[in-house]
Amino acid sequence: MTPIQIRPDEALDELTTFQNKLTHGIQNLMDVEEITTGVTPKEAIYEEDKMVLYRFQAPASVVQNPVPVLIVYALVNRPYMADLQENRSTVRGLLDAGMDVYLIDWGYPDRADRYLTLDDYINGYLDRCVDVIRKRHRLDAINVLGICQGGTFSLCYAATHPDKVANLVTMVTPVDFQTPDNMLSNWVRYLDVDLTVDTLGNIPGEMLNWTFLNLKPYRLIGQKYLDMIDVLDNPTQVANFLRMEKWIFDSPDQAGEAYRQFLKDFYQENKLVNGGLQIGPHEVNLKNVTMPVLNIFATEDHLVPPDASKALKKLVGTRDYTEISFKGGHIGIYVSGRAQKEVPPSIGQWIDKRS
Amino acid sequence: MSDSETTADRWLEAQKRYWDAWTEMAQRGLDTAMSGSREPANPWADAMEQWWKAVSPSAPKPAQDVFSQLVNLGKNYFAMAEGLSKPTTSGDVSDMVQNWMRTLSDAFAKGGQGMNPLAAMGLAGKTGRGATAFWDLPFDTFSRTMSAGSPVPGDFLKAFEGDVPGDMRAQMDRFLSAPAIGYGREYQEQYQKFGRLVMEYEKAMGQYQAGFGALGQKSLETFQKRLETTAADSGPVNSVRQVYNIWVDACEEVYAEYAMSDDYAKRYGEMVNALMAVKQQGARLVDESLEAMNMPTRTEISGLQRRLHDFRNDFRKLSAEAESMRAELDGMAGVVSEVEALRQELDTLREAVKKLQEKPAPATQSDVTPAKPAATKARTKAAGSKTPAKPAATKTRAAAKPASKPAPGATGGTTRKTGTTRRKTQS
Repeated sequence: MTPIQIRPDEALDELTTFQNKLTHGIQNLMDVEEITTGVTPKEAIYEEDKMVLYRFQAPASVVQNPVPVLIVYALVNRPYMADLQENRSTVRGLLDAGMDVYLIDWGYPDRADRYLTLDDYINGYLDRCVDVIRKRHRLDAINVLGICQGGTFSLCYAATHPDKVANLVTMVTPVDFQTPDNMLSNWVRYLDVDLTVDTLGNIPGEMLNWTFLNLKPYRLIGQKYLDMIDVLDNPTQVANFLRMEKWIFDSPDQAGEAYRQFLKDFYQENKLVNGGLQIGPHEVNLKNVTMPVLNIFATEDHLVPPDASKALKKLVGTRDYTEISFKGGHIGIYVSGRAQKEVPPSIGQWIDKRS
Repeated sequence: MSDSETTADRWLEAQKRYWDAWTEMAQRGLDTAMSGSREPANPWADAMEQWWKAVSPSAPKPAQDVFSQLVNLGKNYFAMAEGLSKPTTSGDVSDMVQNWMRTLSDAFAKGGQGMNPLAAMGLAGKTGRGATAFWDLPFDTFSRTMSAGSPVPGDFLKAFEGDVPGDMRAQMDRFLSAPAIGYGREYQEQYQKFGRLVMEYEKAMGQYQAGFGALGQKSLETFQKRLETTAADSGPVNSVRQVYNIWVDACEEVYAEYAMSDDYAKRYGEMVNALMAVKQQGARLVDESLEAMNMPTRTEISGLQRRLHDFRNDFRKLSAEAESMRAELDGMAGVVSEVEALRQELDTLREAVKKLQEKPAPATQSDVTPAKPAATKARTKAAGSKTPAKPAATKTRAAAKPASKPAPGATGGTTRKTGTTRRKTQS
């Protein structure tokens, strides 16, 4: 049997439909106004250099948990992914679940920030944000929710400042950076990180974009845009597509010294697993993570493979460890319709049980 | 009517006009396909191309970039559809598919361009490198920047892009390795080093790209297998889009396998490291030029940034220490007030003692006047037992000595002792 049986007239039908969508789609593209992101009202609580700590406005009808949650996002990409649009917002879901939500926006580092280290980020900015919240709420410890690289930072922070973290939630967080299916890890094995940072100073966001696209080039550079043509006749879907597109390519440059340590200690030497990780004056030992831990990972994650996250279970010192496996990808875990229904409510319930 | 509205209207009008032409052209292509005629060669992809040429000049600027990318993708997609719909001499559908596969196979044979993801989708940059476009970009920028002050021609580096014959590369290497002499030897040496690093980078980039070449045939085989599996599971594939999706899945599978290999990691690492070496040497040359113009160099600015960062950290540490000391002091506020209260009590007692001392001594009593209330006890004791009291040696000594002396002298001694006691209390 011939596996392909396409009649020319059927092919023409397909192409005519395609062309029709393309030509008419331009009107919708032209009608798209400025792409907005970050939909939930928020207030800047604390600022330092380019970093801003926000507190989101909770719906008046919801009874709030008295211990706030601080979202620690990655340095890569922008945190509005957690509050992308009206019906796609992890932040909104957490607020609805009764959480009092704070979020750190690291900003866009420029050359003045080239010497910021992981010590500056974790024991500096992050610690001071935690202190600000603790002081505001007169609490000894707060809840911390780390996302992706921000989850790795949160783990380091919780291990070195356990008295300030009541409960720790990690989402799509890499812990074991050298699982056999970790493509990024393979790519940096022979990279001279010192030479790269000494040469470039800050690492351009464009370089990271290129790297991430090349993880699945045919899908991300080609197929995705053909899919877009399919929705060009729907203004709402066009706006949603462009919003996501904006987020994907909105990649801040990376402060050189922080990037140097992150690539060498985490990717190349896997110190979070192998030991010997030093962040400023503190040695990071995950056995010191003794507070309750909720670890959420995505089964189809091509950036942080599930095994890279699941490794946490055997490394932390806590006896109260919970895992949630979400069927989806690295981005779907924040923005898919199913994620909205499943992820934030689960986090809320888990925290409430421990309050 | 605003300018933007006018532009939009023109754009839509152009599209409308073109739409009729497209439909007609597409119908011609279909007729050609049906009749088996050999002309025109690629009517559908050509139609797409013509459409874009006709309407793009009037397209609003912001939409042009997005759309040109979509159109490029569309052209490739159309070409795929064409390949799948072209007639064969036999008129057999399986021959049609085989023809198309052969075309793909030929494309892969041309140095792996078919596996270059961006090139395969019509998005390769001007250098044709596609997937490696990012790594070209900074280099091109640098090359433009440097061309003005470089002792080698601005297009010198272009000669090394793509395939450079081995003997030519060796000759250039010898040329660049020749010892520098004369007044500008240092300067010349730096440029020679730069030239050598560029050649190394071009070599590493060539090897990186060559790595993809071997994947073409493999991805074709995977594609065939996936088609067969799909056909066996759910019947023949009968839409262009379905074929495209299977093609993408096959390519991703083969690419992922290669990208996870040690071979890829080495080629990638060598390519990036070689580029960084070029850029670093380039930055050194730029710094030298800036210095010659009495302008701040990148190295100097980096040095200042580092110092500023260190100062800020020191400042933060000191601020934190000051804050903690202040908190400690605040905590000590209670102790301070307690000490103050004790001090006041002491002063009161001293006053009382002083008053006691100022009272004339009874004739029968000893002239001994203890300096402190504690001495009262001593006095009592001494009065009873005739033995000087122990508690404070100084006081005891003061009490014992004047026993045989007249009262006026005793007053002065008591005053000194009081003074001594105060100093001790204060310390």
